[in-house]
Amino acid sequence: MTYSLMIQEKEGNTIYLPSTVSLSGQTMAAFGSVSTPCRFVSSPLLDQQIIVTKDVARRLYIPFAADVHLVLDNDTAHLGPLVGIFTAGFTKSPLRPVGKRSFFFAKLLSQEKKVGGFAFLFGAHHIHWETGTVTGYFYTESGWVQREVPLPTVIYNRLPNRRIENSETFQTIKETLKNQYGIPWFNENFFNKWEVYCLLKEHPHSRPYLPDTSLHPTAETVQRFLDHYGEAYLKPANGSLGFGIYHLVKKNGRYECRFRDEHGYNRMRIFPTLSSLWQHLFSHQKLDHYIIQQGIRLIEVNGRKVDFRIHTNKNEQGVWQVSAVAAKIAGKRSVTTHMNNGGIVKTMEEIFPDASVRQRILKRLRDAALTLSRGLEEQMGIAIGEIGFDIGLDQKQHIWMFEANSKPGRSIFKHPKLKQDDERTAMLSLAYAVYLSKKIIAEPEALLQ
Amino acid sequence: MNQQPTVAVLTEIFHKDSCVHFGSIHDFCEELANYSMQRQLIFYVTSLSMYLKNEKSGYRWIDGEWRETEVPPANVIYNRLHSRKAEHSYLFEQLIEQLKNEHVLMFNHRFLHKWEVHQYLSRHSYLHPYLPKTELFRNKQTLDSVVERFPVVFIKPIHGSQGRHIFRIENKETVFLLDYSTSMKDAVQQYASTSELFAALKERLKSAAIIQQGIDMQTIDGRSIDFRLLCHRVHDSEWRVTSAVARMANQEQFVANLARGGEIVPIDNVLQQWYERRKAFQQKMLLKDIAIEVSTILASEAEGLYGEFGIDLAIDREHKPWIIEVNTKPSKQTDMSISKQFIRPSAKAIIDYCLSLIDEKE
Repeated sequence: MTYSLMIQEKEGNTIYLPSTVSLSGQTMAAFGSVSTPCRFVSSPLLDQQIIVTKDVARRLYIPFAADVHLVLDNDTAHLGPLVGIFTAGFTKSPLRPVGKRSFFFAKLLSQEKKVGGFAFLFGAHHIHWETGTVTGYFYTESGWVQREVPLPTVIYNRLPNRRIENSETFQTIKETLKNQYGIPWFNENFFNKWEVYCLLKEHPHSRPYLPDTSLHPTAETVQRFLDHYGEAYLKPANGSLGFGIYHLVKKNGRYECRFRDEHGYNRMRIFPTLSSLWQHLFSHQKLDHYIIQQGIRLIEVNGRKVDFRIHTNKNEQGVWQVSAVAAKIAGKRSVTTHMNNGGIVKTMEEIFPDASVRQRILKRLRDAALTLSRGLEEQMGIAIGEIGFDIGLDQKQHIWMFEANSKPGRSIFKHPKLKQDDERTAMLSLAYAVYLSKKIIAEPEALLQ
Repeated sequence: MNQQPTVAVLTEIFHKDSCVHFGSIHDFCEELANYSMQRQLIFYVTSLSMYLKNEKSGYRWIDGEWRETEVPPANVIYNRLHSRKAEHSYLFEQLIEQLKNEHVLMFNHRFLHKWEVHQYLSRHSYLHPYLPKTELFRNKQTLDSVVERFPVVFIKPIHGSQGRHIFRIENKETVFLLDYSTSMKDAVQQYASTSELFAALKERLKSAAIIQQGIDMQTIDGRSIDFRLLCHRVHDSEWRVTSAVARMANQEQFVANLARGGEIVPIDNVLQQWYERRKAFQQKMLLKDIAIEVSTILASEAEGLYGEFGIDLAIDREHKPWIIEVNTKPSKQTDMSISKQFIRPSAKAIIDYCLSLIDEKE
């Protein structure tokens, strides 16, 4: 339930609450990391409203009126929550604060109204450590505005790439906010493919979905995978967007290798022996940071391979749900179904016009994605609010999980029929932030686990 | 598919002195034809009545002239009918039905009027900051409520185009000034109350109209500037800005449409006059971002297929961009043609999109 928070023009050190809220001697009000003593007055005239006098609003750095959640603990009434979305790559233009990603974040933040609370965008240089505040970008009815607010209740990590995430600056900021200020993060890291594999292998329900995988492939490992499975993928363990992937196939005693060259073209080369392939492609290149993954005979539609992108989100009750399903069709000669690789996105309706076939496949895909989401969260032991899975169906109808992404790309949502899912996934990320905020206020010790 | 891929333009065909003419898109059709040849497509121009005949004929560009010949059915039709009446005719209905049965794709499906465009866009709250407040002009209450909130408001016919028949109302506290885009001089009228103003408007408004918050536009030498971004669909889920220009209003006019004496100016010239280089770049990118978002939303909200929009934007004195209006049959004058041999990017974009539609169907 949310309340409409209003700021009263006069001073009076008071917060007026509806009489349906049962106070139990609270003497403090809090907003994000800032709290202040004030008077509480229960008013039968208020229905779903909370009125804060100007002085209290100023001391709490409440930026403007909005719909909020109210959480009471022993001595404090918490308004909010204040949700910080952390990123990098800010421009100097306040009208387009994060360059071409500005509309992505605008869409995310504009979902806040459906959820309640305040969400804002910030980067490392927006934090004022001396005052414990941050100058955040809010997206309002009149567009982007900057306001100084307390440090947030929770932080959602949306850094654009692994390089920045691995930087020492970021790691220090994250640890400080987490440990010294007790602010929980969610989706705090990009996933590493090898780590995901190892963790899920220990999760009995997830294990059947995992293609055989091995770290640091050598010529011998490749030989073994190809003898066994006929095809295999070499992928950078920390790769994104399909970059650096090789698809190897053993066919009629010869070895085919498909990859994207440095100019972005899809290439295919054929070798008579594995050692000649190895010699040509990998003798100069260390594959230490690579994994090798069993190749899967994907189902085909009109002669093109199809796999699926499935988004899962936790909702406002902290429960996993499937928020979007799309089919990705590979380009005619490409290694993967990634969008920047000639792949195109289709809805399930477009791929499986027959409703009963579609329902059957959808159910299985959804079940798999939910099982894997729970598995990953249990095994990782960190808060995760959203995952994007690359999932395939082989020609024997077995389901395989190729990749899990903690910051899933949004390209599937450009499809006109998936616009609503775009908004729903954004809304759910914020709904989960509210859930996490309430949880951390109710049981601050939960963070320490 | 055995047949060579075929694209047709549907438009009004005029005959003058035994010559055939395709109105405002005549030269553009030639470029479409030339580029189709490069892409190995069959291309022809047709009209509603021609296309509905059993024996199909159309105009093909052969040896430097338009010749009426027998043509195959099209895989994709680019709808450039410029008459709204034609799109409301029984013939058009018949065409839609026939295309559906024959699995022929057509874009742009039809004109979208200003009020439906506004409704589609306002469903997406992240666009609200760039959408001027807009209401359907229903009665005096609408007039009162909008005039009260904004110093300047516009009243535009929902089916209007080229800046025609637009009223501008300025609230001067004691008096309302009413200006009109289609008359040039001394047209400003004064009214002491909204009742008088409403009576005057009611008499002069001939069709359904919207009433819209006026934007305090940035100007150059006192002339208002707006921006026309031509957007084309690359494939199902991607749009691109093909051309972006600024339009400077004629001294006497409050609209910058070319048809109302506006002139085209390179967008960078305008932005760099207002901003330092980096800021000018961000502003230009923001205009493009907005145009792409608008195109994407309209294509997914509106019924039927859309592959081209002309988006009019403005920037206010606080540097914020605004979505002024969307054109479903945009003029090609803003995408300038340098010479006869030159094929405009917008012509290439149209044909490339047709190809992607044909490809995808296979």
